[in-house]
Amino acid sequence: MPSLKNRRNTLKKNDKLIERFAFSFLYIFSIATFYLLWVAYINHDIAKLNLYLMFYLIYIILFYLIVNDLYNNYDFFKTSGNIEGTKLLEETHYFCADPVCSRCGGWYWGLVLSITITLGLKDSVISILNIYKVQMIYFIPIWTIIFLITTPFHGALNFLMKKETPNNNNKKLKLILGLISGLSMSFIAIGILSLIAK
Amino acid sequence: MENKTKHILKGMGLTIISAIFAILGIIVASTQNLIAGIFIVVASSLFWGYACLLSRIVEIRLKRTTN
Repeated sequence: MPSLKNRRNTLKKNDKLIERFAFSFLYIFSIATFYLLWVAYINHDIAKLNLYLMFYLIYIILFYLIVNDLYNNYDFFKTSGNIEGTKLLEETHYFCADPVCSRCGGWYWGLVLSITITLGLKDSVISILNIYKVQMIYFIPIWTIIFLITTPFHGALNFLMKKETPNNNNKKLKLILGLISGLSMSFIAIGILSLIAK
Repeated sequence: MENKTKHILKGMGLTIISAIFAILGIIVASTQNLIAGIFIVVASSLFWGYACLLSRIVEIRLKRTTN
């Protein structure tokens, strides 16, 4: 078994492994940290600013190490001709951040985008809901049902289309489904928050 | 055998890092801002997920070398 420290080779330029692996997590963490940094900067809180900057740097370094390790493993499997391992890493797909992904059609990207926008504008959304006097008792179950409809449908689509389909006509449908399910998730969260606040 | 302990330590380290980031997120959620804390907790599951993937990778690699 060769060392894990072998260097990345030229394979990295040709494949799309890096976009498929968890880049949305980096986006989410960056959004949260930048918000916290901004608040600390406004309040002239230097100690907190340094703390959050340190955590952000640690996160980025660990993310780089993980991606590097993934590429090392991928190169090892490719060069040693291990079909099982290559397949495992090529089919790895969770929380990708590719809006035109051939596998999920931008579902995860849409989810993260709509969650961040809706929760970022949480106060205005709550005030709009209060103007139209939306009843939270019906509000949460309806959005839960919508979330349940939009989410497994994506998995069913993947299953029916045998995962990789280059000429995929349903990409926009998947992106819209992701946007709707992110919206429903954040509306559920807002509903629970407003119920707690009452 | 050395490689095996190395992998075990790696997985444990990833899990502990994930837990540390999740605790940071919970602290932020209770003191600073709820939404930012939830986001940090969600982002901490990256390390957890990679630990799960790593276990499968190591399984395949070890099976290859024994054969």
